[in-house]
Amino acid sequence: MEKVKISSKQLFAIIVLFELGSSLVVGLGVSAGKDAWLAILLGWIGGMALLWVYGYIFRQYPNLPLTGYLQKIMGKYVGWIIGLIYTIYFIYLAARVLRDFGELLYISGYDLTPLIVINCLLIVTISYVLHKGFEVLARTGENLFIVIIMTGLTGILLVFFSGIVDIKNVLPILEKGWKPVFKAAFPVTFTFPFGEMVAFTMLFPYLNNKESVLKVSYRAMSLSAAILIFTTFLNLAAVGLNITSRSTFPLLMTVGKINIANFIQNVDFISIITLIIGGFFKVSILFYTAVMAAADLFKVEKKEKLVLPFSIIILLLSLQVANNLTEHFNEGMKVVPLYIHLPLQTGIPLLLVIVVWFRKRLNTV
Amino acid sequence: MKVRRCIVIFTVLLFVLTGCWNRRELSDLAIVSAFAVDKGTKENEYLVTFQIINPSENATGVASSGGKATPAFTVSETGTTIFEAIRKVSKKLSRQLFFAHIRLMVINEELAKEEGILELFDLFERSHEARLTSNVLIARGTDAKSIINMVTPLDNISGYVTVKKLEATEKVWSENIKVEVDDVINGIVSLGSSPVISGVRIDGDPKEGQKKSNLESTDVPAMLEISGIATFRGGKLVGWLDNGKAKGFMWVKNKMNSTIVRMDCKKKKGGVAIELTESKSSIKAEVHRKKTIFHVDIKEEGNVAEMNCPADLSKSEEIKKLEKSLAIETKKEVMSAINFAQKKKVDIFGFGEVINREDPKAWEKMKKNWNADFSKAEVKVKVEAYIRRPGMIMKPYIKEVPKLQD
Amino acid sequence: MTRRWGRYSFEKDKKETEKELPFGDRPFVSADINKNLKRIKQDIGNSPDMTVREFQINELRVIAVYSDSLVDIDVVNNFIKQALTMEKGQSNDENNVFDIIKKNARASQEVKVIREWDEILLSILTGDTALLIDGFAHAITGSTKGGEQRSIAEPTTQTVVRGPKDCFTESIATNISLVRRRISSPNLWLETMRIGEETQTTVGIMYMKGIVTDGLIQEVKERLNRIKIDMILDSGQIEEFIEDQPSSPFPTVYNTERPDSVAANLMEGRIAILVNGSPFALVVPTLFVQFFQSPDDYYYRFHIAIFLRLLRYISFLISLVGPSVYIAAITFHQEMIPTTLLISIAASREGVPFPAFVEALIMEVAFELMREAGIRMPRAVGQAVSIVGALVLGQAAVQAGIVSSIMVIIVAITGIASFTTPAYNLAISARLLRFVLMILAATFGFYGITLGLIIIIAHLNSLRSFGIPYLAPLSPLIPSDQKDGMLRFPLWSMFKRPRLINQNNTIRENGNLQPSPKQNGGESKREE
Repeated sequence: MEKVKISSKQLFAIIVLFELGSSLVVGLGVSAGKDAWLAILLGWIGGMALLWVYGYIFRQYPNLPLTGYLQKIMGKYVGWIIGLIYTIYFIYLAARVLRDFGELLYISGYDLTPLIVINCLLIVTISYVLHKGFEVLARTGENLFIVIIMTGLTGILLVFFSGIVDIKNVLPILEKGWKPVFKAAFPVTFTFPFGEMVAFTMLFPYLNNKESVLKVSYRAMSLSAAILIFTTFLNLAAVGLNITSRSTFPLLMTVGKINIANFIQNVDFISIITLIIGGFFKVSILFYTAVMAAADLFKVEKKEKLVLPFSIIILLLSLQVANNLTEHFNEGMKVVPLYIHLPLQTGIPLLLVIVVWFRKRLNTV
Repeated sequence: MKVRRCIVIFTVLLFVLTGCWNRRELSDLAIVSAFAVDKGTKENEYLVTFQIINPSENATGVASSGGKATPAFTVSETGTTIFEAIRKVSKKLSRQLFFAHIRLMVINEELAKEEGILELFDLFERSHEARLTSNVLIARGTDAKSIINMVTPLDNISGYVTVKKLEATEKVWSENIKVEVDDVINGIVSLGSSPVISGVRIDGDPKEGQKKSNLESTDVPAMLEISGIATFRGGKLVGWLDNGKAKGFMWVKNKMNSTIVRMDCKKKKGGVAIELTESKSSIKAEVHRKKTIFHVDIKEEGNVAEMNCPADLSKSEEIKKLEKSLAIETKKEVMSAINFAQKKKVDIFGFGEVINREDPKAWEKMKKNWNADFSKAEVKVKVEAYIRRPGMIMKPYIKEVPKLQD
Repeated sequence: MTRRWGRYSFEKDKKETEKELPFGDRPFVSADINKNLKRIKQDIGNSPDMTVREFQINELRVIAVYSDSLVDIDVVNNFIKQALTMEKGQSNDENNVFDIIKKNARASQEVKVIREWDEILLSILTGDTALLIDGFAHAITGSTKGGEQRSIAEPTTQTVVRGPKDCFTESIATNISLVRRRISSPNLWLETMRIGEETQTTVGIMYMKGIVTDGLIQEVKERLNRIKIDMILDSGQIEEFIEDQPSSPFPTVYNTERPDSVAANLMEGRIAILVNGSPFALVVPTLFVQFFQSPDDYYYRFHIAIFLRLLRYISFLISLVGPSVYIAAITFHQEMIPTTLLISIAASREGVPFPAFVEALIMEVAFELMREAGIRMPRAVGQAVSIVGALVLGQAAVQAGIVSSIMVIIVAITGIASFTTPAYNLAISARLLRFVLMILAATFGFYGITLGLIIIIAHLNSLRSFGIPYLAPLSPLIPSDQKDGMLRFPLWSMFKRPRLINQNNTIRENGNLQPSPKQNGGESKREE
């Protein structure tokens, strides 16, 4: 294990950036109609519960990452295989998010650049930063957190000043009842983005102050949920449900409507910067957890050596994941959450909790 | 270390050898400020005209070509879809069309009547260049192409000028409403309201208006004039709201900014002009089984702008009389707008959406037949008018005119 | 592994001197004065500024050796007179005469007794006078330094509007005195060493004992001792040897020619390195935010200090990304520019033959040429060159249609912005990175710029200066240090010293020092 220590503020920053990631710019929960923000709220509650599960296991083994305590709880061989599954899972997730990111950047401005080039640039940047170590990533996260907050505030201010916000677009609340909200929350908003916190179980042991892991994570998740809810609300109010639910990049539509005095207009780059920073963080954290997991499982000494081969794998995988954008979104909305996210984010950790609890029971008896 | 060096070299080469794909030099772009859609000569075809800016005619401080060229020029092309026309135009134009600064879209009236506008807006949503904030106008009395071909005084590019006119008149005369593409799309899709689009016509001879000579005389031969509001059902144009009806519409929609209301007084018809400063309206719905009742409450404030009757405004009875007349006049115009809409069976005011907001379950049942049911609904209008200030004088000079003894 | 020719030649020289041994017992002074005389002439050569004076006191022969150009002749004469004035008969006391001379010499100044020949030569070459007495294998040296020095003048590079206007000179003694005058505390300690085989440059380390962490002093001394080179002429050369990351474009060692700057940094627990022959002192460990701080921030009231600091950060950003943003906006993201502005730019670019990137590159290179020429040219030609520069590059190029006027404006603004950075070495980094960002902007637009900035931020985060993270107190975020990080809070609120640099002795001042207006007609009351 590296002697890397990150502070709680850094953990806070990178959790928020990770959660916001690409979810800030896509239409999260729009299948629930005008109540998309309610769906996110429910997803958040589920996410907090998940965090409690992760925290519980972490407290039993405060110095081990996920792959470590998997082996301890489930036995050496079974744990190792599950750890391998998680490694592949992280790689796959990183590739998916990279594809998301590349596609969004493509349609928002770079529509003649081949996708491989867009993705390759991001992977090269990430490899460089990860090469310097995780501490550098955490510190960069602290800095970019401030940048995103400021960009976000600027965007929100501009939207309000353009006078395009119309609360009537969001009323009535719950016009179709709770059913669509639940359908959207589970499994979609629950697993994306809140369930992806499972990646952080690999990173918790790095924290300086281990007791405050849960507190920091709760706060960070709440802040990111608040930002997501508010942004969805804003999108609905500014452009209306119709356009929001039908577009691939709703934040871009909202920002595109900003027009102050016919001078400040077309400030797309606010949403593009948000996308790039968020995407950068999400992919790099998933990338790093995959590297960490592999290093832990295969007992590799220097993690930096794994960075290069993994980057090529993730890059190529991101191009193979789907043939076109429709297929990619469908997979992401229907197939992946149910069959892949749920078992790995909720199923196995719950199993671990049960096993640990039983063992403790048996030990005391 | 060797591996790292290879990576660095590879990355550098990546930049140098592969080139940049999305690069567009400014001199390769034709900036489009407005475009017009007419019916094409063949079936199912549109004739699309683009107004392109001539930068050197417009910039200050830069040597222009002697002022002979017009500030903008137009180019037309036919196509079954708008996007096809855009690409076909490359046959006629030396540069690529650039849509990010487009502000105006003009649609031919006959096209709107016969084929409807449903198919015209997909481009705006799908392309990341075309903006949802572009304004839409319907060309009245001429074809859309002529509107765009006009040369306008005072500001150079007629596309932008027209939008400015629309904004200005919406503020001070409030007979026309500024409509952007996303408003139209939302209106088309919604079951509880219908879209409206303001109209524009040419006052004068269109052929004269296209030449630069239009600007050379003090009495400009041809000018663009914003006129009327068009109403749509099912995407097709069904009628025009003009004058009083248009104002009534603006009142109900809470878009009334400021206007002049003329009222009669004892001796003269239309002798009093009141300038409205504020107007707020709210709509409430009462759903009963047999019919729906809507309550439209309007609160407005105004000042006396012009008075040609000998009334003494220092007396509060006079003011109250004026307020009453104002309320009556307002109600008259509002009712004319509502009657028009009910006759044509279009809910242009968004009454359906009000029901949706207040009673979603009832709306679920009503929404399919709404346009028909709307005409049967009863609308009760209540106007509260206040006149705050009579201006700088209390008694008009008309009152003081001595009676001449012949 | 790399063989610097200097180091290589030491080993070569050492072997040679070990071979030829014509004088018997190296490397010490011999008791025979004739041998010493011969040896002096051989080692130093016939330089006319090396003066050898022989004295004879009765039968005692004494020679005084000094370098004419390095001594103050009055002090030398005084020294010799003091030392060699003896009472009657003492000169014949063969055993004790050395001690007598030594005692007498001590009356006038501090003396050293040296036996090693190399040390004697070194002390002569730095301005001391050596007395060699016949029959004794030791030499007595006294300090007689003098010679022409530049007087203390105004700083040339780090000027302030309000604040002290003295700056360091090339003499390390003067520099040390300038610092000592400001901190009259017994805790200000000084250690010296000599670096450079041939130049034997004196290098001094100053620190505040009790505030500085001891590990830091150790580290600095270690790094300095590691330097084995033949010459050190300026502190910049030392900087290159002791810095943490030689390959990074950002400097990790701060230099200043102002004694008040050095004093302030010492009080925060840093170490100052003074080099003889250089008016620039080095200060370690360094933080990124230090390069944006100018001494007069602290002498003004805090309102203007905050404003100026923010202005500097913004102008650094402008000088870094200015041309890149313009290129990205013009070639990739034309929709960002407001319409009327776009039309103006398009109009001014009609007829320009180059793409935006090439145009920007040409103008930036031209500006760099002008800047460099401005430093090198003789004063007499100054006026002509600036007129030519302005006219040619500005007006004529635009009118000929080679560049657009917008480009000239952007380049000018970028250039001016780069001058507002108080530290020159950081401004240079921005200048270099600007070109990299321009290439990124020209190939990938805003995406490229954003990725480039992320890489730069990550790189900054990975730097450490003598163990302290470079971007503290921004990351890791230390709220208590923010008061002097990017902004400057009022002096009466800065209670603590920067946390990472000194672990002990963090309290700087008492609380409750905020001044408030007079109450009850008495003196201004400080809350107790």
